[in-house]
Order: sequence, then structure tokens, then C-alpha cells
Amino acid sequence: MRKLNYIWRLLMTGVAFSLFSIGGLLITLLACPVIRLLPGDAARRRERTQWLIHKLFGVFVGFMCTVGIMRLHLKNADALAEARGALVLANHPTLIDVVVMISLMPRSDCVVKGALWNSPFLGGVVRAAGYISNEKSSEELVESCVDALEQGGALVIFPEGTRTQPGVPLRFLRGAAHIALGCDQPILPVVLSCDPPTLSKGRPWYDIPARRFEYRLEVKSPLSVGDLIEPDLPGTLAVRRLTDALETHFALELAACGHPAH
Amino acid sequence: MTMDNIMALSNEAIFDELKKILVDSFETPEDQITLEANLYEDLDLDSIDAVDLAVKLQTLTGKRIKADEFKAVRTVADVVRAVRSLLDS
Repeated sequence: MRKLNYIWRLLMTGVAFSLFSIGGLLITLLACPVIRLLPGDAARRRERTQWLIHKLFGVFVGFMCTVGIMRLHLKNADALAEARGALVLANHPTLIDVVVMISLMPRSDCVVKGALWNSPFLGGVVRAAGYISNEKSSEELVESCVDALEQGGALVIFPEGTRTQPGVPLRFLRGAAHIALGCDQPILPVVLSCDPPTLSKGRPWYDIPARRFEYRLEVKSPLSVGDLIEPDLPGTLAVRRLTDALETHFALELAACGHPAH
Repeated sequence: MTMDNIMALSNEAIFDELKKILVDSFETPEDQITLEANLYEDLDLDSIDAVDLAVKLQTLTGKRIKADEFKAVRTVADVVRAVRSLLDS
């Protein structure tokens, strides 16, 4: 029975991965032209595309829960749905973090890899959604992120810059702090965990855990830069202090939920 | 430090000024700052820091640094050389 369940979950994980690419291609081919034809300006189009991605990710997460690959545990997720003009920061244990988060967020902006931006499957969608490509200079990237926040977007950033390396202490890059210091918007921390670990960095999709994984998402109280660092620091120091403070904050939150930063 | 003093700076003195900037503004551990150290790989600067560093060097030398030239800078020795050529120009 255990063996059968394993095979079932392996199969469904494969189906989920295929659905993701095929779904992306279908939206690029079908939904994007329809959204382009609907009345409204570019901003409206962007909002509709973000909403569509939100709904489809919801279906995708629902699929994974229904077939028994994962179980989802949410805490204070409404705060994520209502986030506007907020810098949403999360740790990054798995490949599906952004999918779960956006499935809870009708409006979301994110930074995507150049490879994804130009991908034939998903490129059309991420461009129509107005997501931000990371293929620019750091200054331009920070500027685009600040713009998105000031226009009321909810910008999702993984300050680690990549998925957490299992067994290595949490390490944040300075990008998130640069963005937070570039604007006057609240920071919304989201703590994610996945047990048993799966879909983590350097693990192929078919290396599935021995049992269904429990995925936990908790939205914590909003933070402001002023809560985390002393005022009036010169820019180069402020960004370092804020990065350290955020890193410590997340490390403590992760430890508090009994999940060492795996 | 006055401008005349700066013009007369030896490469060692430029290195010392640079070291001071790195320690004060970028919290770089002093013992890691050698001529061979790579700003990005060894000293943990990022490209936004590089812009800040260029601005500080402009203030120090009173001359404009061309963004393109500074992009090619990788090591501490490269920075010293860039400042030297600014002062000599």
C-alpha cells in the first residue's frame, strides 16, 4: 500500500510538472490574446493577467492537495490576499513557494529570471503580468521594484535570491534591503516550511519524499525599516544593517516554528 | 585633505584612503583588504556598492569617474590604478 501510494504520488508529481508547462503555454497562446482584446489600459491588463495567474496557481495548488502530494497549512493568509504596496519577503525552501504565495494573492508582482522571461512556455505570461525581469543592472532592478511598490503592487521577493541550500545557515542577499530602503512601504514577512523537505535546491522533481509533504505558510506581522535599524545611517551601512536584521528576524521566526532553516 | 595633497598621493596613500572608505562605509574587514582582493568575490561588494564607491572616490579626487571605466574594475589594485589615472589626467 505504501509502495502504491509512492508510485501514485510520483506519477502525480510528474503530471503536476507537465500541467505547469502546458498550462503556461496555453495561457500564453489563448488567454493573453483575449486579455489584450479586452478594453482597458496597460495597467488594467496587467492586473487581469496577475489575477488569472493567481486563479490558475490556485487550481494547481488545489490539484496537488487533492491528489495527495501535499497538504497545505495556512496561518493569517488573508494578510497576503490584502497586501497592497507591501514588500512581501519569504524564505525559499521549495520550488513551489511562489506558486503557493501567488495562489493567495490576487495582485502580485515578482522578479523573474531572464530564462523564464524569455521562455517560450511561460515568457508570454510573465511579460503580460508586468513581472520584473532580473536581466537588468542592479540599480535598474531596485528602481523597477520600488516603482511597482509605489504603484500599490504587492512585490514578492525571496531575499536569499535562490532556494535555501538545505543544511546551510540562512543567508540573505542585499537586494531586498535596497528595495525596502528605496521606498517607504511596509515589509510583510512570510515564513514557509516544507516537511519532509522536497523540491529543494539541487533535487530533481522525481526525488519525492517518503510521504505526502506538509507545506506551512504563515504571514507574520508587518515590519517597517524603522523597527529594524537605527535611523539616519549612511546608505551603504543601512543596507547592510537591514540585511542582517532581516536575516536574524527570519532565522528566529523559523526556529520559533520548530523548523531549523533546512 | 586638500586637493594639492591628493595630487601628490602615492599609490600607497591611495590604497590607505581606499582601505578607510571600505572599512568605514562597507564594513569590510580590514585584514581582507589586499591589492589582489576582488571587490565582488572577496570583499562582498555588490554592483550598487560599486556605484557608491565611485561616488566616494569622485569626492576624494574631485574628478568625475566614467561609469564604463569603473565597471571594468575588479580588484583593489584596479581601483588604485583607476584613481591614479584620474589624478594624473
